[in-house]
Amino acid sequence: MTRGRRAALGAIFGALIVLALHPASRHLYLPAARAWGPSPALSTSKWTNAGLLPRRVRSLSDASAWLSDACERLVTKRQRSPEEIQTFIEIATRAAASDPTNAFWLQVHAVILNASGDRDSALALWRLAARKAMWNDYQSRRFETAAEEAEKAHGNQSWIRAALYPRRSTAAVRLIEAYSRQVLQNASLTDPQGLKIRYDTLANGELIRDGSRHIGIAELGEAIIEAASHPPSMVSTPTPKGLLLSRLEFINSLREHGLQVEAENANQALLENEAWQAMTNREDPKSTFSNFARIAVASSVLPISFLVSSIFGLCLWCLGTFLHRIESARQVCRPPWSVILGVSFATLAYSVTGLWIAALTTALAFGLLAIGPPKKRSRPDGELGPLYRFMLLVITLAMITFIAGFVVGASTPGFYVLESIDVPKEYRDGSTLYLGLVGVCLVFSLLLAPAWALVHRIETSQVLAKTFRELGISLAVIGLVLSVIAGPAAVFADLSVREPLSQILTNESLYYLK
Amino acid sequence: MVDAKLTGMGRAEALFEESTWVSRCRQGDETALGLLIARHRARLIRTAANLLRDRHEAEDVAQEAFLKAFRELGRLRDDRAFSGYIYRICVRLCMDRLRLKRAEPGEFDRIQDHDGPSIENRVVIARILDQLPYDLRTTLVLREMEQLSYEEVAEAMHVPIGTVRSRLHTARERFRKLWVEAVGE
Amino acid sequence: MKIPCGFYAWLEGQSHRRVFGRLASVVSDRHTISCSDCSSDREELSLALDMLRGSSMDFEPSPQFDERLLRRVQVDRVRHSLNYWSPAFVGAAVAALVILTAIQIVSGPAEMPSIKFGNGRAPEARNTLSSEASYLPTLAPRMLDQ
Repeated sequence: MTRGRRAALGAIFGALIVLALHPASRHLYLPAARAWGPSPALSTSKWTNAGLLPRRVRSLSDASAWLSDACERLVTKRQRSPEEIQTFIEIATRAAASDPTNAFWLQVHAVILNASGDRDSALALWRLAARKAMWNDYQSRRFETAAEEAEKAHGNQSWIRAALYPRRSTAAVRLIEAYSRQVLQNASLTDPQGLKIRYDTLANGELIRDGSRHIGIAELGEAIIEAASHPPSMVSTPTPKGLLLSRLEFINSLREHGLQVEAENANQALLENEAWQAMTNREDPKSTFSNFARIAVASSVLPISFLVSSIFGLCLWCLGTFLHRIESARQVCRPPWSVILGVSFATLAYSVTGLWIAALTTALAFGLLAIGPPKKRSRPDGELGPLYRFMLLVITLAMITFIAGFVVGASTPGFYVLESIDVPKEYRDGSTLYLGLVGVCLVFSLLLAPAWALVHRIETSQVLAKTFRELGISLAVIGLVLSVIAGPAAVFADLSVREPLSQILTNESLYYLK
Repeated sequence: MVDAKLTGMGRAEALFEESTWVSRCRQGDETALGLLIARHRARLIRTAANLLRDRHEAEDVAQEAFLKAFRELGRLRDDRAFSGYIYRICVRLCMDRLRLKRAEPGEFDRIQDHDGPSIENRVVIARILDQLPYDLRTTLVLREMEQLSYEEVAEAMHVPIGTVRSRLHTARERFRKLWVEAVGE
Repeated sequence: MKIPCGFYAWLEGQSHRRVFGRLASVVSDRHTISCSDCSSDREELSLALDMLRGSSMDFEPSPQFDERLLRRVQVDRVRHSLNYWSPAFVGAAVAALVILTAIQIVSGPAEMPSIKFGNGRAPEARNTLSSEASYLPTLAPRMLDQ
């Protein structure tokens, strides 16, 4: 090894040691190597809103978790047992008593009562909720706690927030919104009682909209406010003109019935709704989240994925060295061993990928190893030319890409985040597709051996051993270099998306207002 | 230049055995290292002692030669050439020492613990050799005492064979004159 | 014919060459028969070289020779490997420094521990979260675990 290469090797290892020890980057290496698949810190159930529901309701967060879960159950329209309904009602009642200014408990309570058939009590609670000062479903609070718990296991990484974001439940607000429509169906625009119910519905919608920490929930709040001004006859989506007319009609009706203050408040709420709608219609929260989530996952997994490529390369180099040193091991290139190996690996390729073409290619590649030059050089020069090196480089880069793809999909961040950003199942959760592609690259390297053996008049097994060694070294070195480069880049990228993801998770509306 | 007398076996067999040891030595085998030392030390020490006329310095040079040879074993292309390789190193180390101590007077007291020919003779020889330039001295000793062929001397000293011949002629003539002077005293 | 002594001396110098070897030796031998000076020189050289050969220092190496040499070889190997890998150590130190600087720059200066100001939480929520300290009564687990 030349002096320069020794210095470069030392530089790579020196850099890796610093990256593996530095508090800002260490979670990207050794801990990341152990983070595969689901994590106990992020609950066993991938999409459970609250993770594992608390067995004892000790706080408003616990109550929120249970009520969110109750609403998720109600959305599925499954019949609930009276005991369950009673428990949910009791939770809502006690939470409302502990948190008297929060409208959320009363709204959910109303929804549950309505679902159990007690419509009068539900309406009374609904109207009572409209008098409350604020609305908070405590989901952000729960996510903050969950993020802190997950950070203890995985370090302070932005992907944790990306993993929690899709767990926000909108079931409660969807039920509330559905209930508000039901209420509005029976509330006339002409009699004072109906107008008061409409005004209370509008106030409930305003509370939800202003207290929401999620664009989806804010949109439901906006919808409730808008629906409060719609006459019962308006069933389809109104035109802007129809919308304006119905708003004016509602406000005028309130004034005509002596509800001046309510009319002013309703007018103000509807005007503010315009602003909210302008904001929520302009933004594309899903796409914004997807972009941040992609960066978060890549920054947390790429350094270790390149390191895995490097380790794979070292294994390949060991195999090549074994073939190079041990004469008897090179018998694998001759029948019957080449045939046996060809059939075995073809079967493996088929079982992994399910593709006949992959199996056939693998079998052919092993079969072609039996081909060699009729006359061999007595003293091969060992240099196989620039095209051979180019081919190896292409295979190396392809293998690094596929290994990185596999590792990203199989990692804990990939497991939790990729599904929520609509990455197809074939590319995540330890995708066999990527493994199959790595296998295809290896098969390509097998094909290089007979081709160059014939041209350079060298024994095929010797070219195969050389190919494995050089491919292994390329993978190891390029993998290490990329891992070192990816380290600081990942720290930077992770830091740059941590704050936006944190804001999107805890108060999405506020993020878009900035 | 394998000293077949040391092992008592045929040259080819000794060469093969030695190449095996060298190969093992490259991989860090201590036993092979010991075997190589055992085979070559006596010869190296004798040659160094004849050149330097000091047994302690000779042992030191022999050790230096072994160290240098083992350190640079990677440069040896043919494992069978180890014997000549280490001998050349030893001769050159001796020449370097002779070149450096040209001006110093001979330390004859050091050889007094040696058994062999009469002390007087050895003192005379040492004095005479000290008066010869280092290259002539080396050529003379390798040829006359070590009984090397002209080719072997040329190889050990890394000079053309013609140079060896002319140096040897000059060395003999000077040695004779100095001997006559010394004996005549 | 008697050859001059100068030519004899030259021939002596050439006597080991194959081309002249035998002829030179014959001519030299004849000259020494007829020239007493050269004959005496030849005799003196022969005696001197005999004495030189006789003074060969053949002795057994000291008993600690092998032990000392093996120890030196081991020390030398360690020193050599340290020298061999010294560029790697230098490279490692330089790279470590560069990466350390890069991470420090990227991750920003160290911050004092700060109190979380809600991280974008709505003002209403900030005021009401304090009420969370009041615990709800524990509900029967068998009713909740569905």
